[in-house]
Amino acid sequence: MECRDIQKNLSAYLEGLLSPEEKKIVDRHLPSCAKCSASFNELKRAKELLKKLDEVEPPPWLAAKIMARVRKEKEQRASFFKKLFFPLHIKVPVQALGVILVAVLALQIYRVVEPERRGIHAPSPLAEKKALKEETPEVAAKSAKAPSPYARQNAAGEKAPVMTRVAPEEKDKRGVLGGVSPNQTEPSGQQAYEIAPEDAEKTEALLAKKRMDLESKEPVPAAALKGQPAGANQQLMPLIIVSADDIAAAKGTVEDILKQLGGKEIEKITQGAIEIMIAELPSEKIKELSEKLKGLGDIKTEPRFSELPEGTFRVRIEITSK
Amino acid sequence: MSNKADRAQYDDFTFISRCQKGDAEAFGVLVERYQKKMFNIAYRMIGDYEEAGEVVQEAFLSAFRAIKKFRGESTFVTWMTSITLNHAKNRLKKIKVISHYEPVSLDEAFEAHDGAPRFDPPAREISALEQFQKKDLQEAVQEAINSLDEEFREALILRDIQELSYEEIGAILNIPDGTVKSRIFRARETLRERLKRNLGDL
Repeated sequence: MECRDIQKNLSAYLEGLLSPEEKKIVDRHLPSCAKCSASFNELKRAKELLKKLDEVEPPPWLAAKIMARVRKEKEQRASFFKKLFFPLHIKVPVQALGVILVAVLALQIYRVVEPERRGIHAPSPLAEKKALKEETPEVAAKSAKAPSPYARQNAAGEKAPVMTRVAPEEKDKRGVLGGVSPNQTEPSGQQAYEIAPEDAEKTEALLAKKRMDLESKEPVPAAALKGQPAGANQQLMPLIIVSADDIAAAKGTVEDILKQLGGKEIEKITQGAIEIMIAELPSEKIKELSEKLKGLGDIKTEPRFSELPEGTFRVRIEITSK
Repeated sequence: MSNKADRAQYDDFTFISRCQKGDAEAFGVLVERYQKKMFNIAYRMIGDYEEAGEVVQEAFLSAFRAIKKFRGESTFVTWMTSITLNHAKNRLKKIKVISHYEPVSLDEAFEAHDGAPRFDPPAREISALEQFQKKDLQEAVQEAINSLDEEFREALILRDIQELSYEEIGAILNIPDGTVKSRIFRARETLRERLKRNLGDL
């Protein structure tokens, strides 16, 4: 057995990793070989020295410093995410308000259009939205500009939505529909429409949809499109929708009530399954009317009659089945 | 011993999973438990106290960042040791402590840094001196360790200082069993030679 071979295996021998035969060979070799013995001892000593090395104490602040960095890391991660998802942190509310404003304006226009057709309600949370609305310089400037007239030819027999120019006013909650109404209906049935320019796009879309809706509906007698009587408020058309079991009976009752309250220029229209009655009444009477109609069945009013301003209106009553 | 180890492992997992769910403070428990061990590994790898401190901080921070990826396939210690060694090796590449790595001549071997004799003359002296010797001896050993190539160094540290099994070392270094052994043996051999050169008679 060569010393070289022995030397190579001394570590394994030391670790007890040699097979029994191999171990025996080394066992026998070592006592008779000074060189290999010395090597073996040195190896053993080296291992011992390593083992005897003191365990070193880390600096006392080490754990604390690590945790400080860990916490910082966590914080940074949190704020990074915030920045990622809300990059326009300050600006976002302003944009949201802008969107709400536009939506509100569009809705107001939409609402004016409605009363001429079957009952789709404008949402009553409108009042809340108005509360949120703020007058921004932007909008004020736009409404000051001359609106772009949008004329639409209206063939007889087609329904034509009536629209008024929207001029939002700061303090008047209902002011969206206030202001000048240059809108005149002409006897021939042609009508001109004006839209506030900032809403043009949005309302165009709305109108396009409505036009499609309208196309499919029954023609309305020309009488329905008659212009508002001179005395009545031309912007607001209060709406009462009555759900009744017996429409015919309800219709009769409504007519009676209208006459009782002194309603003028009563009109009766039938639109498919809905009976419509329109009458001219002063606001107090309209309130009374709605109270009386409650007795007939479920009613919905638009707008809330508690907010009805002074004046005379043409009120529209739609009677539908439950 | 296995029972104790199992329990420790289980305990670790409690805090690890809390940490994975976002509890940063839970990580602190793991830091407290293993900072000394990691520090020692780093220190023996690098040979410098301050540098070791930096390495350990960074290693734990890396571990924290990666904690969600920890699946428990190995123990936390194994994983943490692996990370620490990686950071230590990276650090070594940046540091150039050249003087320690140059072969020591026989003459130099006899002198400590301040010029005083490195070891006593054959006749043993009193214990005070022995203490000095011990300190010197330890430094000498560390110097010898520093002279090893990194892969041998880490194997030796894990085996002869940390006293880990071949299996564990294989897991930490991600090398097969045979490689673990051969590295340890070669490392020891080299150390033996270095020590012999530095200290004369061992």
